[in-house]
Amino acid sequence: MAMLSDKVRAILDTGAEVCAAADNSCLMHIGGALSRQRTGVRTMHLAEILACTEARPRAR
Amino acid sequence: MTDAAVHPPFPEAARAALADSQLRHNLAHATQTIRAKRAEAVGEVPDWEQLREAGRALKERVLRHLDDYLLELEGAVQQAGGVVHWARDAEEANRIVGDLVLAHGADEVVKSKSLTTEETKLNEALGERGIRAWETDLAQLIIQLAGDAPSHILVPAIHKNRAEIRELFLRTLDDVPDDLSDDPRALAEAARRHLRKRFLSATVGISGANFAIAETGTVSVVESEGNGRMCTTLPEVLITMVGIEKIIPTWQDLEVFLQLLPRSSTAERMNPYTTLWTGVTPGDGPQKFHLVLVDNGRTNALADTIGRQALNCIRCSACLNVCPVYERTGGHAYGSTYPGPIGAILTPMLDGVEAAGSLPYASSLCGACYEVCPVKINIPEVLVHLRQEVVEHTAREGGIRKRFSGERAAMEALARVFADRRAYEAAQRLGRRGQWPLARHGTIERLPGPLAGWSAMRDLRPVPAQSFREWWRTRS
Repeated sequence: MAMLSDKVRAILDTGAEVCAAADNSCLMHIGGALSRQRTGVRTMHLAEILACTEARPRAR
Repeated sequence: MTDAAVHPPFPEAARAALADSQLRHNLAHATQTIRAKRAEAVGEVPDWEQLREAGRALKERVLRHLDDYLLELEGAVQQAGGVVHWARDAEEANRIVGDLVLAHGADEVVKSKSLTTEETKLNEALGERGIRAWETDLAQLIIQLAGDAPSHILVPAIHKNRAEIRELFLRTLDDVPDDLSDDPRALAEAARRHLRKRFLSATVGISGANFAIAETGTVSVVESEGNGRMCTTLPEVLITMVGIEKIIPTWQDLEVFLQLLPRSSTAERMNPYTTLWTGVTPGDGPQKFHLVLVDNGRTNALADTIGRQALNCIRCSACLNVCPVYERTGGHAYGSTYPGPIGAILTPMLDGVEAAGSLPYASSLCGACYEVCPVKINIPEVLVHLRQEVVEHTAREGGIRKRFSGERAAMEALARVFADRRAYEAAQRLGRRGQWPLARHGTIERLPGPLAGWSAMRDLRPVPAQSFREWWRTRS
């Protein structure tokens, strides 16, 4: 929890809209805190970014 | 390992440390500073990776042939006029040292900093027999005067600030000026004056050892303050307590470790005080030398083919300084002589998983410790291995309830599902139908029953309408 709050603070400090990573466990953990604190920052897996096309910009 | 100390569970101990924001701030500052310095010192060495590999290979050779090297060391020390003692556990080691001190008619000893004597709780054992042990390393003296425990391998008083130290000296030392300031130089001077008297009056010195060379019987202490050299040269009698894994084969092998150790621990190119002695020399230094070889759980650790690499450790503390868990909780939360990542594996190995079962979980398995380790101990690998040991131990000793626990059943089912493509895809289809009561706005924020604890902080994605595998198949 102490590590998680430091990570969330660092993410918010960057002003980014999306936090991308290649590890699903990390994404679930960090994403959980981002959504519970209603930060508006989304998490995405690297594969989701790769799967994005102009036709489907938000592949899920 | 007769009566292994039982360590308090890590999560409980960590909670108090995490609530102390001053401590967290101090630790973050201290660990980040030393971390950056280490990286710089290591970066200067072009063959650092080869050095690490050499260090690992040497330590592993020693462990593989430990029986031979121990006998070689014993013979060499005796040849040079020293006496060798063998101690099965902490109690026996302390008894041997106490007997030796009393046999020489002493009731006080000066000590250089030694983790092995911390591990065996030598000072308390000596105290019970009326022997006063003076710690002479500055930080170790502070810890001793405060009745506290070290919280870092290298900087044991990392959790104390100078105002606290000034107050402590005024309260506990009878020979300090009343107007003592909290200037580090003044504090060091006060400790120095106090210690000088002890050095000159003590007839017995006690040290640990960083290295014991099998080939020559030479023992080495590596330190920064010079107090270790005083302890090992001024008294008439020197007693050195050393773990049996501290052996290195030959004199030349020092070249590897004397490069690896200072850069990894203090970020120094060369260590300030490196003391080496071989037995006794008439008319020069202690005239009696006793070497106490301590097992205390080490042969048990040696029997574990994955875990034994923990015995490679040269106590540099680089893993503590890079660890995100240590940085936040500090050393006391680990409840053992060896804190941080190395402590999380070494303590359960020495004392048994039943005594320190929460320590292998005190890690996020990020692997930073492995990257900086100068002797390449794969700490994450050993942590996972020990977690398995903890689970097996709980199942074995915890009775029928633990053997058929829900967690165990769930893990076994998951292992079957993840091991087989068909089972995995069938589970996905099943999940797609079963998850509708849980999913809200594209996420699952709360899981039922025993899984609620896991989902208290995490969001789970629902199984999508089309899985990656299904989509991939439609492509071609």
